[in-house]
Amino acid sequence: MKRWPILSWLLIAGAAAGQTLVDWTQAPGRLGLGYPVPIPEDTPIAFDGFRSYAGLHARHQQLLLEAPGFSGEVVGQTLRGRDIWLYRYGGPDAPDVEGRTRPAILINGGIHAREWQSPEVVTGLMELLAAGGDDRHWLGYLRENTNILMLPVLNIDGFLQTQRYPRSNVLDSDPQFPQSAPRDGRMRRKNLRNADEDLFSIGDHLFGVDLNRNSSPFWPGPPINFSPTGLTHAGAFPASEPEIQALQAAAVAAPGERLRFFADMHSFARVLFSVQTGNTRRNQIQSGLLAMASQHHQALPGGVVYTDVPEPPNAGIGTTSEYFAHAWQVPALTWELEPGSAGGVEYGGFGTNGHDGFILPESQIRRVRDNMALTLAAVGYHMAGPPHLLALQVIDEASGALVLDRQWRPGGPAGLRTLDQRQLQAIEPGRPYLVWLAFSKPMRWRDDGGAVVPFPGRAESAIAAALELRLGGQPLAAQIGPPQWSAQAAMSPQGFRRYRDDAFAVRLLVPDSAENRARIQQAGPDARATLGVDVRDMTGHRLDALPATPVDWQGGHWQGYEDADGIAGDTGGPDRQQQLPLTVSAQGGLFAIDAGHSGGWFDPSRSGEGFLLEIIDGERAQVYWFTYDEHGAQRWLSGLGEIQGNRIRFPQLFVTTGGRFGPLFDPALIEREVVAAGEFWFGGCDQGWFDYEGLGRRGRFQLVRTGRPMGVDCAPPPGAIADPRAGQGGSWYDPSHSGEGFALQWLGNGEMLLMWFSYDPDGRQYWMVGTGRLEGDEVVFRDLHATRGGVFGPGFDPARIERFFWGDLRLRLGCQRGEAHYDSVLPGFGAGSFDLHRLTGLRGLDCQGP
Amino acid sequence: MSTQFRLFPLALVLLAAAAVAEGPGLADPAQAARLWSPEIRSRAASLIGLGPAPELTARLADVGADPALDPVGRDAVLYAYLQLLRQQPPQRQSDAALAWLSVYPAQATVLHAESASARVPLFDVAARAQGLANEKRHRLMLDAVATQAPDAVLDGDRTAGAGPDPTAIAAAVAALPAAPRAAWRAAIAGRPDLADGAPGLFLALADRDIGLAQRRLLRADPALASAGLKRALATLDGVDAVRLCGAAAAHRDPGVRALAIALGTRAAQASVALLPAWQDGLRAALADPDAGAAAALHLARLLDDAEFAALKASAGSDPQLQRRMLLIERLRAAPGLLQMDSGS
Repeated sequence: MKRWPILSWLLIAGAAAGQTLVDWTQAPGRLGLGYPVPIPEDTPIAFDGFRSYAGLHARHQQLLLEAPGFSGEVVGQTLRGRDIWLYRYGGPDAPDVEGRTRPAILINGGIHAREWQSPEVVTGLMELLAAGGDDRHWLGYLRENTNILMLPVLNIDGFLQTQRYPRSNVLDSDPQFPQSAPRDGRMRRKNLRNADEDLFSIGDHLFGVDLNRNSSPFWPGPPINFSPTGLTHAGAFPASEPEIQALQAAAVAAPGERLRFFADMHSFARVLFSVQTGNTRRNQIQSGLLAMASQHHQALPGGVVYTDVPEPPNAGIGTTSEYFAHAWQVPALTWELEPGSAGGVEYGGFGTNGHDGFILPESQIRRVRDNMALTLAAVGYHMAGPPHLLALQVIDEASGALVLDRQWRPGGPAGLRTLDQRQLQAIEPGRPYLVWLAFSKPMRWRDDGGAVVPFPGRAESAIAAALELRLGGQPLAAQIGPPQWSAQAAMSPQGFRRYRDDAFAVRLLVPDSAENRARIQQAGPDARATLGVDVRDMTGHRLDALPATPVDWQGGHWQGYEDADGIAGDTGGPDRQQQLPLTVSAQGGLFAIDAGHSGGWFDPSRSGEGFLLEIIDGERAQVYWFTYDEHGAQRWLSGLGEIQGNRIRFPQLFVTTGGRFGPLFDPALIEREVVAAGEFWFGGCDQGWFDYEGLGRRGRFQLVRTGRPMGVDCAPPPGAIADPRAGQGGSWYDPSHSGEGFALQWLGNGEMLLMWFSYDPDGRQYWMVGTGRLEGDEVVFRDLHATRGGVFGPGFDPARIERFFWGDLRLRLGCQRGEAHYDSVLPGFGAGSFDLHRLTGLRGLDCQGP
Repeated sequence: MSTQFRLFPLALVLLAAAAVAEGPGLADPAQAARLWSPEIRSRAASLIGLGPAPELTARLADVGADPALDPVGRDAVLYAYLQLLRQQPPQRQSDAALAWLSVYPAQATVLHAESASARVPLFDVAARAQGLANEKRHRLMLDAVATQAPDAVLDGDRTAGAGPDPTAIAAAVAALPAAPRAAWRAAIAGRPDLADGAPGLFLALADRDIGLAQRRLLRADPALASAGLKRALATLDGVDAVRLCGAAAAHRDPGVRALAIALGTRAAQASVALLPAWQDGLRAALADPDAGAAAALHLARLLDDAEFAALKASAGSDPQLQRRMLLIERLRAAPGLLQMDSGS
């Protein structure tokens, strides 16, 4: 390899000449940019400048180790043997919230070495997702429902070469444009095939393969460039380069059949070179998607405009985006980042050589990085799929009681959703209701002041919602108020369901007019009005009008995305699947939860797990859910809920870790983790339901009582306490053992129902249950038992529950203090005692005394 | 002909306004060489001979519509004119002509490098003219800094629109000899926005007033703080640079904190005396939720096996520190990652 000393190299005019990039000064051999020459820095954290590859890689690995939702894998090696990393946000193994395999989108960065904006932007997306994944809004939605694959630096060898020489390149050597095309060093584009990493060994500096010319189906062009020294050398054959093989491996690992989008991030020109195939539906979806992305980006600070420039159908030059569009039938494009066509002059640069467009000023990269991350997240939100109306609840405005509940649930035959309905009453004319509608994704954007506004780039009309009632195919006169979107975690109708602004409530009144009554009577006892709901998500998707058939992506278009007539396509339409029962007959009053709902509750089909519910003062309730983990071991959850009408909502059900049974228990080691949310609602004194979502599951229990508590009845007000002992009911704990305790209630039959939520000697959650009787001044539990064999979620089989004797327990209780003595027959538990303090008391059961 | 004057945006590698392949036929990229033909250079030189004459713009328009030239020739003459104009003093560069050329639509186009159909100008006259207008403003600013009273320059600089990089003025001021710099220092001190901006920070660095630079750095927005840190590393000696970077590690922006760690490490590495204490600082910074990753990166590079083992042993059971140890371990294991000294 011929080496030229640097001093002479700078002076030589002829075969190759050195060029030094400087900030402002112009002189022979020096190119003034008009802004400071960006120098990569070895820092992982985004700043107003560019990060070195070591810095970027450190950042990626940090996110992998520290940010929830991230995983990573090596998908190949560069020519020089460097690992090419693929990172994921949301994994292929973790199902979405409905238990389905997640859709995937793939963003590739750093294919062309000198385009430093590209790795920064892909890393910026990773950083946005890491920072916002707990937002309970669109980023949280992405974390729970998508599989976003990010390959920040594909051409690592070339990228390192540009960073090794951030101020230098070689001029006068390009075979086609010797006077104008700087090569290698800061201006390297290709990989390092047959080239070394020494800028000053001139003989090989033009070699390399253009990785964006190395893909089927249009390899090798035209234009065809088989010259190894050519700037766009296509390589020996399609995917001849290990870097392209790694990218294709990333697609397969996605997995490929779940891919819905691909972008290859480049610079510069601010254009979106989108690929068109013979699949017109795919082309149209892509066009709409990129229009949304462009409008979104333009609405962000800076007002930067990206223009979609679709390629002619079935034509290409060998790019990666062509490969993805044709091989995987997904929207795919070459995304040319800032600056625009004029290059650095946009930022006050001198534009002496148009190549300065590859050198974005450091003063701009933060904006470019942050804004583009938002737009790419918007693309992910859009391609995650259209929304559907997931749940409807009708709430009696006067009492706050839930009278109708309809929810689409996954898990039906052939992957379909099934509509689960509970109806307590029908809609009566003249009676005001609140109708709460929840959707499958966050649907609205808010400004900094909290007002619902169109998503950036969308028109004001995009946030409209149209609702109508029809009876017998004809409109039914009804007053439907404006939608109130829910940004707070609360029970319906005020709260959202899973993500902020995934639900809204409207006030509904069917006027008690003669005409309405006549029409309802004419429709008969099963009169049902159809509720039409027409609303779009943040990026413009209309509803999937037939939620029973989940939307997917197959063959380069949406599948199962029906309009109001049930015809599958790519546009959706109003949902008309919701039927509201109507009646003009007098219905009974609606009851509200009161003290009598305290007690043990369980689903008869799931004997072996259940709930101990405490209705306490202040319209609140405490629940203990004794259940199992995924492996057959016991687990218990607890939480504090709010009561509204006939419902109790528990927004945070948590599990604890860090406990040990017995004297090794250290309250300082107890950690609480919120893992689920749930809601009880009751149709009467002895009948109810429990809906939950969490721990990777969503489900509904149909509940009956295990027994009624002593001293309170279901109907308020509670009568006089028959036995003053009843007031002892509630939760008790030993302050030196905060993190475990007892929930107990006196039952009407004179027994005490008790749940002991604790840990086993190995530190796992553990619970015991039993009933005790008064013996002297003690409550004695002679048959305290534990269980094993249950499984959380739908795999639960009551026949596999094994109940076994744990030991006995004796309680001596006052009203505020007490003591407990236990003696276990099981190894590791032993005998011991607790100094008990009251934590909660049941509503309606007073207890006077110490 | 010096190197930079032979540079111009060519089709295959340079990007300009993309358009779908319709309209006039594509030019052969090889026609780029016509820029250097005697005919083109001669016509461009004749335009230069007009200086900033009032009729210049009309003459440029004549070239753009000259039926004797093909589209490539028209664009080439105007582009060559801009190349030659750049060698003229700013006062001879007509604002009107630059404005006209800045919106000149290219007549000769070629295919964009990443597209089978989109076109870009063969000679991007408009971009070249915009760049020259920027450069003219920059050169006038440099002249003003060198020859005018600070207040006159500062008031005159408040014009809107694309112009010199904001830090360019500050750099020019900071590069002045001591005497005129003192006048600038006084002028800037009376203007809080400038004192807390790039001029104030760069002047403090030029004066080696580390205490003042430190205060201004900590008040600076992240962009200025980053630029200031980079400038500090280029202008200060090792001790002062390390001191300033150490102070900047308290900046409110995690990106600035991490950058300070990176630059401070580079500065400290130049001195055997400074490095041990700096490494202690890196160990302490590991717990920073954000910038701690920067400390991990540099410790991965600096520590030998025994030192790393000792660090690991001292980390205890803190989950965050444990993750940082794992990060260091992974970075040390990445092939060749830590050997490259970027930023040269």
